[in-house]
Amino acid sequence: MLKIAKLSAGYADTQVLWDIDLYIKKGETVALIGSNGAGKSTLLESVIGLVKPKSGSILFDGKAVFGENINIPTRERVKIGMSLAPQGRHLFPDMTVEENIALGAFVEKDRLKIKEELEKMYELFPRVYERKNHPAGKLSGGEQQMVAIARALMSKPKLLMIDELSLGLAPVIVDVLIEIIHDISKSGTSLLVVEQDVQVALSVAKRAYVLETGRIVMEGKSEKLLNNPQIQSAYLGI
Amino acid sequence: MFEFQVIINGLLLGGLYALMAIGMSLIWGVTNVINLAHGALIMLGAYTTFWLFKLLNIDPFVSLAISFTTLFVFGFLVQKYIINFVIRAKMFITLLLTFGLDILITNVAQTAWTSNFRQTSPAYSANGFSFGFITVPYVRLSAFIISIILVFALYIFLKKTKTGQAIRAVSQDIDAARLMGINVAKTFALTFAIGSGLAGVAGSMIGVLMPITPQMGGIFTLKSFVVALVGGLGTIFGPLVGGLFLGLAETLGSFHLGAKYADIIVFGILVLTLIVKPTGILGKNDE
Ligand SMILES: Nc1ncnc2c1ncn2[C@@H]1O[C@H](COP(=O)(O)OP(=O)(O)OP(=O)(O)O)[C@@H](O)[C@H]1O
Ligand SMILES: [Mg+2]
Repeated sequence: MLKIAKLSAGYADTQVLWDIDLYIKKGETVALIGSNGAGKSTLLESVIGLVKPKSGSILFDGKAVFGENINIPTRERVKIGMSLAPQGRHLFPDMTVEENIALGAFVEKDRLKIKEELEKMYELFPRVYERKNHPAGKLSGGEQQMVAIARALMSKPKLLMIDELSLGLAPVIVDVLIEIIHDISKSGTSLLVVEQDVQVALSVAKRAYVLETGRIVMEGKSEKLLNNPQIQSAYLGI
Repeated sequence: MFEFQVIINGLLLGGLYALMAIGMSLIWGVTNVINLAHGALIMLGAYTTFWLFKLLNIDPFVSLAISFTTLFVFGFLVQKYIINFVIRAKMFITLLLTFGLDILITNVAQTAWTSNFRQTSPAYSANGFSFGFITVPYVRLSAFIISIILVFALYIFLKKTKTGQAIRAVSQDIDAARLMGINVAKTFALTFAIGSGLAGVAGSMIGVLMPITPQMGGIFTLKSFVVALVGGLGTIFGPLVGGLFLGLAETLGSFHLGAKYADIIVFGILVLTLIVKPTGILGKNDE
């Protein structure tokens, strides 16, 4: 589904990512773990095209979206099935919840299909339905995250990326979100989830990558990583 | 009774102010560019209607549409090939650039059409109707109605159409808009085009009400700036509220205090707004 090779990226004159190799199989859920400033967001933004990498390649669904002389714009990547629920949610604050979610299907021309998809989102997130006419800026953190995920799902992505799934949210909400991630995964969507809470990360994903100061330092099955002494001391405080 | 006529005059002037400011406010609110060439675009709209009337005898109310379309295309090209390159630059740079554009457009217009005063003067331009002591000039009333229609049309456009939603999305969060699959550069160009088209319509009307010269735009840029700020940036109804408010204040003020106070009142209101509520009458308080 996604294959990243030797990817380097950064901003102006600071390099943030070094030689990243990462893959996600069809239908797989993969977690990306790493401390603050490791470059997790930069990696997701490179994949969706908000950040332009310096070198390397990104292959999505058999199509090169970034490579030598290739850099297709974000909107084209969305059209072929990528989607990102960004860190900080980035909802449109002055629009209603419903307008926000509907905009997720901007690339879809058929209004009826948008409506259908919207109904599905309300089934998946009943709490969001109750708030559908509220301005998005006025929601609680958990509700905002739900709207952000619903919005990202509206384009029927083959790969859904979520940046900071649980950050700042109450444990009850996190449990609900974990359930929803499982549901999304069951429907066949591949997921790449950035998560600082290793317990949460490894409970949604079978496989994970650990990013440290811009390099992948570890990769493997979740159980294996959970039992890894280095992970335990660095992220679990054991 | 006289007072009532003054209020009518104020409202009609306000409608004209609103018409002038809609385009500037839209462009400013969405792209964060303060277009100092806005008045020059109004001037181009005025000349478009003037020449169509003079050479082809096309009625100003018909050529409104032509004026809108001409300026729409002009605005689209100017944004796409000039302003787009500095859209992410500091506001100072965009100010400089649009200031330069203003000078350029004004000078080209002067070379092409000389500085002679012109006016679009259809037979009905001085007519009006009266009831009791009150007279209402047709053209001013039409400008007022057009301005209200345009504000509501813009509201519906921004709420209901795909392009409108893209414009609102881009104005609220550019990166999120990209993530939705919105073409941000194209949306900016369209916004600029619509804003310029609206300036063209304002120009068409103004050309019937007052003399046209290549230099006429400067004062319109200033007035539109004040109306947009006082009404509330980034709000759809701001220009209407700000325009009516300023039109009334200016007319009532000059009636009671003397005409020389008109500008003092207008810019006094600007300063007061900036101190008391910088987001304007309809603007949100926080931010
Ligand atoms: N727009 C930007 N311009 C310049 N530097 C940036 C920008 N965004 C991020 N950085 C820098 O890149 C590095 C990686 O940032 P990034 O946001 O990708 O990390 P992260 O792993 O997502 O961190 P966090 O857990 O805080 O979200 C940091 O040092 C950050 O300061
Ligand atoms: Mg981050």
